[in-house]
Amino acid sequence: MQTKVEVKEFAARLPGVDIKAALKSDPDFKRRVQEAARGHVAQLAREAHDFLAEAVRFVRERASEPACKVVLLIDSVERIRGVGSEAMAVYESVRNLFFGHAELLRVPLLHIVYTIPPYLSVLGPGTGAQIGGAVPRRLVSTHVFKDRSRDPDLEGLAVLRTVVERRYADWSQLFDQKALDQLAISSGGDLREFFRLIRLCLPAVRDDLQLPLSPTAVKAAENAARSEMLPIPGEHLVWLQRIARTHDPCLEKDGEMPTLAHFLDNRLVLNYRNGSDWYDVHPLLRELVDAHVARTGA
Amino acid sequence: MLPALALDAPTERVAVNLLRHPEWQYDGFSLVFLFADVGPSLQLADWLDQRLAMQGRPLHRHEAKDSFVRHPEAAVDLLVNRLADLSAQPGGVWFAIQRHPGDVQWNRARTLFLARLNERRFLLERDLKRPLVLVLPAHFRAETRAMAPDIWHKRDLSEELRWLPDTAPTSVQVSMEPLATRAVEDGCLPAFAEWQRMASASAAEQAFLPTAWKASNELLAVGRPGDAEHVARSALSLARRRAQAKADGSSERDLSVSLDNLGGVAQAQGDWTQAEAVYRESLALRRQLVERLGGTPESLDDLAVSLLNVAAIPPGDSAARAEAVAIYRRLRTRFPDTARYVQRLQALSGENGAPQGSGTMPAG
Repeated sequence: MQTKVEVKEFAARLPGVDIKAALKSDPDFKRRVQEAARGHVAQLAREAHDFLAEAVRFVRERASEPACKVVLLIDSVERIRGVGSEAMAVYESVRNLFFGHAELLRVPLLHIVYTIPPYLSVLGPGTGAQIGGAVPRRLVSTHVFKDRSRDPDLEGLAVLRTVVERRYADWSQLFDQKALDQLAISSGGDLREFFRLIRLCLPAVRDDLQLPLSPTAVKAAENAARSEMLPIPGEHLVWLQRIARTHDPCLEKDGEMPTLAHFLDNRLVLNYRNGSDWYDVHPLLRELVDAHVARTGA
Repeated sequence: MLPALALDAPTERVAVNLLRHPEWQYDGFSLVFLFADVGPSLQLADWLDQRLAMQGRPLHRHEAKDSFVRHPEAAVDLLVNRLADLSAQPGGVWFAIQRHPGDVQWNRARTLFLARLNERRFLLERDLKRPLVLVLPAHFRAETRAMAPDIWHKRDLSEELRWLPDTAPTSVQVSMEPLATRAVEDGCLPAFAEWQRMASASAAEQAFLPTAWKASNELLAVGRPGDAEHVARSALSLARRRAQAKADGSSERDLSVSLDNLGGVAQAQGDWTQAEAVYRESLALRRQLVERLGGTPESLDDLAVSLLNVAAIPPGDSAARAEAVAIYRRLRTRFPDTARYVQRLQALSGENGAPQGSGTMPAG
């Protein structure tokens, strides 16, 4: 890829230097490259597009299919996070990337899948419309609750039992159905969390007489999982209570975005979809959130 | 040798949970977080290792070195570069970065380590075929969730292990550093608290350097070497600026003491390279001071201290030591009633070359 003279000069002045390593480990070098590139974003993007178009043509020639569809997955963008005083600046830059430079993210000849942070659609509901009209897709949890309620969805619970059954057909020897359903509800339908809760129950079994485990027996695992999410500051509990009440993210100011991102990243708040998107506090935190409200009257 | 792990009910639950995990899930990547006080975590590692070794799956233990505080990202690189090797051997990986729980610099390093590890999570999942136990300070759970939400969500297990109430150490000694666990609040460190106040004031350039020297010693004494180094470096920067600003050399002594102070901190962390660099610079300054001031008792005493600091650098410098002894003999002859010179000579006669430690306050 051809680059502007300034960036070429950097490379020329550093013969034998691993540019990638320097970008990673030398903040000063990285800053100078960024400054040199600033103002040439359009050209850099054009050159990147040309390079990718060349790659698509190469793939089509190799496959002998002139109309072959090529897909590019750009992963881990959702992991871009800010810390401390820089948090808001980082979130702004992510928003700017997808909203302000949307046309540069559309690459001719390519289908592109970007993983985007869950808070982005909260920040700007029009994300997809600005990037070629695509609709952001979300990987939501299994339905374990009915729409905007805390009533268990029996069909969703049956799905999770099937998921376990496919992995271990004799699960009913370890857990009675009520216990397994209780863990499913406590996981909020998050599969990784569900498996983790199941795993947490097992080391405590000392004797086959304890099996199958009852809803009471799995409480210790639920308590352990809950304690991993604590402590939660009082001001966060107030916000969580609003989310629990309205089933909306309740973002009132841009400056609060880092906190909402924290809620979503750490699964203090889960995103469900029963036809439409809705939000609720993690099931294991409900009592805590409700108790705080009752205690403080917030 | 560390005492055996004391197993009350909560500790036994943690120990058994941690044992079951590598026993049941020994093939394939899995991630365990252990938030623990240093002493119990070391005991737990020994306890687990004994049991797992009997099954032919000993733990591969890595404890963070002193350089971790300065280069936490290098620790990520080190771990990532070893994934293939670690996967080729049976047994899980114990990666401990829980030392100095109260040290602000160490905690910053841990935060950076977690952030970088979080970004490279896919490498762990793809290339490490063994359980990985990440050991962090007991208070670090919230920070871990915030800094590394992706690998946090990936965890298979997390546990917390603290000193039992009756077994916690009542005092923390630098010599017992591996067992030092308590995060000492800044309020218990008066010189450090005062130095922080001075350094953040509008007249920070007028800060009193002896307070910084005392602060870094306080911090070393409570097992916070990263913070001690941070203070020592700040003091040295200030001392250098003052020495450059005053061409008459009147700030050189403070500069030499600040150098010795940093040397003492480096020495406490086993960083002899850094210690040697600053001790030798201090020695050169003190020779200049003796020349300029005409061999006053204080300047000679300072020179002797510098010589002994240099003499303590491995493998030792007998010429420097001999020169220091000669200086104290001359001072004792000139000032027979000054107890310090007598005591120093007696100490040197008995120590046979033991290190003198960091720079000192003025004699007398």
